[in-house]
Amino acid sequence: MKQKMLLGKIRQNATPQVIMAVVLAIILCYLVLVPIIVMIQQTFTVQAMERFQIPGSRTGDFTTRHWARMFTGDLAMAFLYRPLLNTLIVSISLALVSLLIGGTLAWLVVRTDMPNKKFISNLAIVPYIMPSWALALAWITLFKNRRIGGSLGLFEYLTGIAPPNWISYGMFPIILTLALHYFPFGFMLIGGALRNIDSQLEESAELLGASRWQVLKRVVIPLILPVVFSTFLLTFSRGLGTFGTPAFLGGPVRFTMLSTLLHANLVGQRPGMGYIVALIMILFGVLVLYMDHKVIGARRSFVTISGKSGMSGQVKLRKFGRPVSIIVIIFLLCVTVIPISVLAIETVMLIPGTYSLSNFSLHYWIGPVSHSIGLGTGEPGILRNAEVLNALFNSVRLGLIVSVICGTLGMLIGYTVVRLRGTRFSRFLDQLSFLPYLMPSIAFGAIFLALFAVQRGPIPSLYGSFTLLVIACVVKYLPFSSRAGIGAMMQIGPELEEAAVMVGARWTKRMGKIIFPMQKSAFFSGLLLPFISAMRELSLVVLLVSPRTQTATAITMKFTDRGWYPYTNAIMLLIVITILATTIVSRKLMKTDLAKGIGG
Amino acid sequence: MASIVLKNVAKRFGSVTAVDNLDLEIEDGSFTTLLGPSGCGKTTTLRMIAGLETPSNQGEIWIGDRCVYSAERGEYLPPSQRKLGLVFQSYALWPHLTVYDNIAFGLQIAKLSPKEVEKKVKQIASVLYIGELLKRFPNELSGGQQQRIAIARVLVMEPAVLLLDEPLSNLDAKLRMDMRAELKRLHAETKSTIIYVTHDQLEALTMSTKIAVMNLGKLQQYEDPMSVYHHPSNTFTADFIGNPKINLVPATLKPDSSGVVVEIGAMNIHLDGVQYPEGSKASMPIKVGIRAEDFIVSAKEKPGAVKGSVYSVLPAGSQWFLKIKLSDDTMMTITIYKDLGLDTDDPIWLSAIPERVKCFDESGMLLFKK
Repeated sequence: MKQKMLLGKIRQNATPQVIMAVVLAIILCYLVLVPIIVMIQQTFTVQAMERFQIPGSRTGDFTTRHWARMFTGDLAMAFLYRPLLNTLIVSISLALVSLLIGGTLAWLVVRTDMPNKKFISNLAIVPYIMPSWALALAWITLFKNRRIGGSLGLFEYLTGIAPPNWISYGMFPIILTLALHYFPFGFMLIGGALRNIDSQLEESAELLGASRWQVLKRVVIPLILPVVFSTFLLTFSRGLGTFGTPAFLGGPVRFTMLSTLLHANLVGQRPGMGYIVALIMILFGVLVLYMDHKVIGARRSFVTISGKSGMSGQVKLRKFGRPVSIIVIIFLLCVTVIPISVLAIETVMLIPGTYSLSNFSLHYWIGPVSHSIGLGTGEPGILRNAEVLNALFNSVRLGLIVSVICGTLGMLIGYTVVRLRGTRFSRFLDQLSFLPYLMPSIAFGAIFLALFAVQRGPIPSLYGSFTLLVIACVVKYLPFSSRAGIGAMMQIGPELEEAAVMVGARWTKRMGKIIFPMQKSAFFSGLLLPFISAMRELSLVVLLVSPRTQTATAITMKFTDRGWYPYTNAIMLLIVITILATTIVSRKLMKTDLAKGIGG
Repeated sequence: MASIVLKNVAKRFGSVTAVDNLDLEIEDGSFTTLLGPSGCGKTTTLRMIAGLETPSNQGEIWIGDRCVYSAERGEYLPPSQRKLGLVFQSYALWPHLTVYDNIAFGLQIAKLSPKEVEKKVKQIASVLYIGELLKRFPNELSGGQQQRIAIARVLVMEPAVLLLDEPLSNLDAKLRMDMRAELKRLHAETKSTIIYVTHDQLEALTMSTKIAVMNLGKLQQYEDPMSVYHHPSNTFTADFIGNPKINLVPATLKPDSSGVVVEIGAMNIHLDGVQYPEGSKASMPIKVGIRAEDFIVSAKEKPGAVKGSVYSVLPAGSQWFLKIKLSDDTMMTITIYKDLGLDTDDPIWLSAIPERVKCFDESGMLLFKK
């Protein structure tokens, strides 16, 4: 009797969504929470390389040496405090600059009658879909000076003036190029918020006698403030975790940030110290997440409430309309088409630094292996370079696999979270799947390095495997897909599924015949963002790749380290072309809207 | 065809009790309405019968002679085996399937041959006059048509009991009238048991054979419509049913020679042949309910009638609603069926029809049950 009752109880409560919630929560816990514990443990453990530095110790012994050295040692200033300070200055400044650019653009597009809006909107998203350090490469190509030796920059070649170090390398170009990469966040999020404000809110203020400026100050800005703050935090945390740009632009002048410090420590076989850096970055990530949640969580809701939102009155720019539009377009071309062209030109100049038609050559694209002086890289042109092609293939494969897994998981998470809405479990899963969103990328890479470096119980060591790249990217981009999945599932009332339950359709049938077909378009448009992200990812994968699993992004590091920029640039061009083509094709075929995936 | 029995069923969501120890017997072939304000537990009750919610570990539910839920014996029958049809408030038509596929879905799940499926779909389509809609998609249909499809999708499975969850609330007023008649016809033709959830008291009165009035998860009254209307068992039911709302005012009850007297300010209503509650004091405070149509109104002074003044006049075509202010500031709403040419602040004399007056004790329970 008792057994029957228990069985009955399980049958009543073990609905598919509950089972799925449990499974998903366990997997996510393992992939997100366990690594952090492993990392903490590693920072207190004597590492294999250190046995000889600490007399009488064995690998695996307990030690506080890493923490002591990082925080109080002679080198603490160079090891930790200086990079930390650099990172904070860079992240805060770039967040502010990109907010300013993005916010202004958003206001111009949504709230004024500026001409060519559609073109501008499309162009403004391009910097975001390019790899974050594409601009850094272009910057180096343009403003390289003689400090790092080798060829001249295009600027010096054309003008004869050598740019000073502070323009060529270090903090200034890092902030600028990253801000120019991340401003589309501000553009899309603030633009969305501006668009969503119910025009009746503004109209009532106007009817009460408020001037346009007063309406902006007292109604519009307070309403979008949470989004502005949220965007700031998002950009800040991206700056924190970005690796490529500081590596390219900071390296020549030994300008270190936490991300490059972490990379140096892990590559230099000092995981104990490296993980401390990663933990500090994660701490910032959690802090950002917490602030986002506390300060905004409650207030955000009213921004998205949009009643019968007719387009609210637009500011008439009158005779300034055309000039403003032209300035904006020139600016956007400067951060998109021009950098790409600069990269392209560099790849077809046989002798770097000499920009003339007679120097034109496709050597770096299709040239044979050469050992002659000057060109003696020993590498064939990238289109016949097996290593590079393999890396490109890996990137595309990674993008495809990751996006399909992300899309599927996102839908399942959306289903689970929405169906269990209101329970603690739903909230837990929701937050857990969102956690990687604001985690600094490179720290996230470090997490997976820590987790899969050795075999743990039934889970094998995945270090150096392609699977590891897939897992890392899936977890990192899951927030995009789970947000999209939750959003899409919210549109589907539970009764649509219950109607199928009533006639006895099993869960798999309901998913296959009801839920998925209704989600199809949301599912496919949700694939684009993870694909693009995986294609252009460097910070996350740089610690995880092996020679066999090189991605196109990671392999550029090899060429850059040796100063062979034409190769780096050519690969970058291929990545950009692939991403742009995918974006355009999916836009045409599936009417995907990138802006939708980035919210959250 | 089946009767439905709920024995001591309850449903709690966290600390909220949606349905509180409910006992309900729904007769075979009846059109039973679960009526109450939102949050009264009516939809939860329906969903427990359907099997989409399970009771909070107590009580039993029987459909016909089959126990579909028993906390004690750990029995639970999944929705699809209960032989019920449920029509959702939002219709829940699958937007990616055609009308035909929507109706055929359940038959296909039940693994009927394509020929049989087609035969059954066509048959039900002709019954509900939707034959020409079969190739369309739900979003190409009007609200009334979607409603029919939702019903067809359920009826094609030949359920023993039809459950309807506020099926008319998404329709406009005129269509709602038409659909009421159609549903009533459907009941007469199919002779199936129908359980109907609504918050619209007029819908409940016009359609049901029996109404179960619910509030705060508890059953308030369970009788046929006219009994519920004329003999509400408590002030909640009295107040919830009827439009305009019943006049519910404090009064004093006293015994007199041949019955009792109800005193509402200056108005005295004598109720004949009624037993004054035993063991009570010489007078007791009560609440009195008088429906708007249960007054006799006169523009001239009349013996036995009390004077009031017209607070406002609301003409409604075939009838007039009057708000009357009595001398002690008590407000009464009154329906009249003849234009008395009244204007704001005019004097008016009124008295109540004694046998229609409902008395409730201080806890709100009906006194003097018939």
